[in-house]
Amino acid sequence: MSTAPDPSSQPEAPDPLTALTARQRELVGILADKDEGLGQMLVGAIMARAATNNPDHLGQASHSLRELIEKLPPHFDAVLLPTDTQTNKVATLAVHWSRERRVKNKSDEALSTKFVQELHAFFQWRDDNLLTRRDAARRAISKFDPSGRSLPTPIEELHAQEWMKIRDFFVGSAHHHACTTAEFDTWYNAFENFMLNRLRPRTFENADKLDALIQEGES
Amino acid sequence: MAKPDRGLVKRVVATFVNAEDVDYFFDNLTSPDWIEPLADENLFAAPPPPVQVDGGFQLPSWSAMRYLARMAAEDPKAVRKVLWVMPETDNTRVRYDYLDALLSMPPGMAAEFVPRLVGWLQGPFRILLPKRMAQLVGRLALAGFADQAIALATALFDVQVGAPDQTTTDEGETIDWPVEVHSLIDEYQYEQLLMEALPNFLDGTGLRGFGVLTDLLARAMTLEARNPPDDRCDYSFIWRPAIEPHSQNSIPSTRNAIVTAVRSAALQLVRADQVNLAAVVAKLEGYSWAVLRRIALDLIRVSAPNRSALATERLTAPDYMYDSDLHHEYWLLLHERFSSLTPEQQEIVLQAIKTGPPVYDDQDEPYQGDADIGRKAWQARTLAAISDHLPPSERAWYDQLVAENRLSDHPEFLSYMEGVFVGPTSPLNADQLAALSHEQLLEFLQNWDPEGGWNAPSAEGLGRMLESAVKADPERYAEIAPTLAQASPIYISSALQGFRNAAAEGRVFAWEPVIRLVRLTLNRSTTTGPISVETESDAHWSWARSAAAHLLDVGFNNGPAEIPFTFRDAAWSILRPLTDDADPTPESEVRFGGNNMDPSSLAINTVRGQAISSVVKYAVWVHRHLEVLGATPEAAGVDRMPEVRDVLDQHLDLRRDPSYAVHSLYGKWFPWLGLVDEPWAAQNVPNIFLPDEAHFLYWEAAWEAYISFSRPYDSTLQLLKDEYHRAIDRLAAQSPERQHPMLSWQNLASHLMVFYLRGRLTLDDELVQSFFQTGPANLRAVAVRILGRSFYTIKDREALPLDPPPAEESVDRAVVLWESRVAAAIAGEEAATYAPELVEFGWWFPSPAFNPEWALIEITKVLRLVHSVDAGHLVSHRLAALVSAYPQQTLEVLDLMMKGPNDDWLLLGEEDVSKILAAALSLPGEVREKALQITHGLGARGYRQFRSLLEVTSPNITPESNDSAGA
Repeated sequence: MSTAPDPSSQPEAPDPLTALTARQRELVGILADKDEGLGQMLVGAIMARAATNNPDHLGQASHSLRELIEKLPPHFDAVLLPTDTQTNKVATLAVHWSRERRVKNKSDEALSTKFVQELHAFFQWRDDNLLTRRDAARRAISKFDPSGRSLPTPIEELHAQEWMKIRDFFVGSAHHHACTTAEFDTWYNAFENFMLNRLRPRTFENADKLDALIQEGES
Repeated sequence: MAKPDRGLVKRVVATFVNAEDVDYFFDNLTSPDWIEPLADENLFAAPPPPVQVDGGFQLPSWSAMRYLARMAAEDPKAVRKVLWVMPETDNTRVRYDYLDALLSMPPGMAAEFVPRLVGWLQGPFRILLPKRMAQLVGRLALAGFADQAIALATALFDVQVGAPDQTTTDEGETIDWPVEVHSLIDEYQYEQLLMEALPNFLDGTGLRGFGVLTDLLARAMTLEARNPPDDRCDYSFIWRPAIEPHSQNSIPSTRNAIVTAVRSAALQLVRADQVNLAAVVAKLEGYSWAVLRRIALDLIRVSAPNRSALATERLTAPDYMYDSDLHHEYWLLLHERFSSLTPEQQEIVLQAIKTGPPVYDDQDEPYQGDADIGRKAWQARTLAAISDHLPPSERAWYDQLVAENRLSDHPEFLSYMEGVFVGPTSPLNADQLAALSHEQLLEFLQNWDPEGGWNAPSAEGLGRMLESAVKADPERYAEIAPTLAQASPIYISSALQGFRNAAAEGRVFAWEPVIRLVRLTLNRSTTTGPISVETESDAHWSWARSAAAHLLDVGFNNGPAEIPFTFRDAAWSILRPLTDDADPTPESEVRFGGNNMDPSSLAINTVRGQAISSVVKYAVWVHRHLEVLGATPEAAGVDRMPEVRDVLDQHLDLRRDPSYAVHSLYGKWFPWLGLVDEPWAAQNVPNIFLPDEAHFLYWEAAWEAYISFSRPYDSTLQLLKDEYHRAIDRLAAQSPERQHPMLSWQNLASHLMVFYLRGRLTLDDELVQSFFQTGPANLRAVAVRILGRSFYTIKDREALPLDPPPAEESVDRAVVLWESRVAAAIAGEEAATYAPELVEFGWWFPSPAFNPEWALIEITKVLRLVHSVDAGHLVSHRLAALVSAYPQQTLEVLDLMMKGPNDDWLLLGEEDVSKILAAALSLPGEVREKALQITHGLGARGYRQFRSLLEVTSPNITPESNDSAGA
């Protein structure tokens, strides 16, 4: 085996970016604009998917995509990580609870206004920080909207479900739940469409479609 | 005809990608048939809540509610059904559209929602709602839903009071200030909405509705009362001098708005014969508050027929006549209706006046001792109402009271506020003054004696008139100027001020007599001191000296009205004494300086300060004339004018003149001192800009004055380079709040950049390095902006080239500096700290002086680094001019701008963006695709107006294939 390429021959390894489809290139570009690492993760996933001589290529590609999906929200200013742990918060509450007169006096005295406010703040923190998977998904994808506005909740809910399904597929596949190439490609396309529809919207094409639907309902 | 169903709605929902899709759909629906299937798919189930942002809330609009509001007239039942089950929201923008829907429904349906609306008013979020609610009040009332209209009106127009402000006396006693009611809704809207709602509301609710208003006024009085319920005095004669519209009612307030509404309502009911006058009066007099009883009297005066018992009974009742709270309305009623009383009734009135209110007989009342005077004043005031109808004996009595000065100017009011003071008035107008001969003028100035009194002609007023006259015709008054020295100092200062203003406008006059006037004035003015001296006369002399210094200051200016150089000695002889004036004293500097005035501003408001300023002007005047004369004397600089050197040296010595104000003048005029005598200026830099910390305030006074008033002269830079260094060091040590707002710091940035562009400073120079390394970000940004803005002028958003064009070297220097700042930002750990500087490139980009390729590259870098630029509208204008030559780069910049944190610039830049996109869409390949992306992106942000651009086709695309071009 030669230790160096033969200068007279052409390089054989394809340039990763030229091997991508136009839509893949577009999505890589958008993600790289946010952070180079994000673009590299997507390229890595696509290249892993293409390495069919690797028996774990779908698992590795899924792993890259799962990582990408997990890392996207902060780059779109979506805050999903809690500002503190619930254990810490509850511990603080417990100390203050023990100082309440009703606890010290073992009576039925009313809670102090200060403690009630503290309780209120705790539950508000909990709502804001300990997100369900669905809330996390909703918060993330709402940040993809170029207008900065949120979709109506029922529609946002549908989109969150779609996003979670995509994510769940790649999480499962990354953990070596077997999937076929066709299944992988279907879910990859779903991911690509989901992202590009939001980050490179074809708003007026959608408006044309909506015009047609309105016409159908009102003609 | 097809009707939408859930299946179709599901397809619609599947089409939604972004929020704009949803808005587009709802905004384009024209049929109410969608309501039911949309509701079945829960699309009306989640109104968007207010969004908390820094410092407040955003209120998202909701297209679904806008659709319901549009459909409410067509299918009110369907809309009502949806609204009834819709979850509550605090988003008042949604509530606003909700109210629109209710206003479009039949009133009977809308009435069902009133309890919900009342709840809204009791919550904290009311903005946007009152106008619509007021409309609904009227609509409900007219349609016969009086209960609901009254319930809504009561909630909408309710009032409240806050906790009283408190003051603690020197003795430690806490005193509550009187409270005043305020409305739940915007105070400024309150009266307007009350008056708008009133006609329909009363038409529909009659006396019941009127009761809502009178109860509201009574509630307001109860809330304001200091000792309810015993004290029923409402003090309305103070805050509402007249119930009828009157200029005395000058203070708008919630309670005044309610009084106006109650009065209007009463008149409306009576004039429409909806309720009889007696019933309305009875309603008003059912309350004990004076203001409501005053409204009753006013209503009787305006509406009761002649000889009405309602008027007669009240006019002849002493309770009404003697009640001072009712004075104004009783007085007007008496004035208008006395003549229609019978002789017997008139006699009752006259007897009651003769008796007078019992308060003057009460030994415990405050009139004790002055009861007779008080009673006579009251009698004169009351008789004035009927003075035209008095029998001869009573007329003589009235005339006697008037002769005793017992009658006020406005007897219809207990107290009367005069108009706004507009300034001193003059006994002579301009024409009368001009018509006086010299002798007459002098005599008048010497002998006219102001009578005194409110707004009466005064010496100040005459002085102002004289100042104007002198300014208008200085030549005439110069002839008699010396004789004016015999007048009061107030007229002397006015005349000198007039000459100064005339000279400033280039009006020529003889200086010799004017200089004599100044000399005579200084001879008469024996004492000197600040303008705030104790006696009025001293103050006037101080004004006269100050006016003399100001006059000389202007007289030394180069121009047609300049003092002839032959008067050098004469001019100096009057200027010199002024430089010794005591004003400013250390005490007056403390009083007027500090946070009130900076030292250089204080200087021109003092005699000595202005005189030292005039000394510098004198020096430049002498210098200029000696240069013109071409004299080559042995001496140079201030040695050619030793009189100047002595004064300058004297006042630069802090032991002899410790005034910060005077010291600041050496900084203010430093370039001119350098012009007159550079060695003297150089030698005295350490004395003017005192470097040690102990004299920091003197340094600051001189430096601030220098940097604020002086242009960046190259010669000065050489002398003051150390001071620029010191300023930068001290700038870095300033607290942030002192760094930005001060013009002087901005001027420092400006000076440095001008010197840099001229090549007097280089990028490697320690001054420039130090400024950019230690200066605060906002000042660095100012410097960068100044540099960019140096290369064009703006007209109609167009950046026009300078004429003549800037030297290539300065453009190159600017480019080098800019690139160094970008390099620093890229190398720096936190690009955000450079953001204020980098966004300023928006002010560079429009300039035609810079290579467009370079400018496109640099702005792209900026946008990638900090995501926005300033002056986006100017940038887009320039991009529109560049798109045909640089389509890809232009689109790249536009795309990056669109992704920025705000799109305010699109308000002005919309037309240019259209031009850019239209040009790019007509091109093939990647350019068109990029333009499509941007156009759709604009659509996703709600800019639907760009949709028509998609009709633009490129040469390679047939219209049929156009739709799929970007797919």
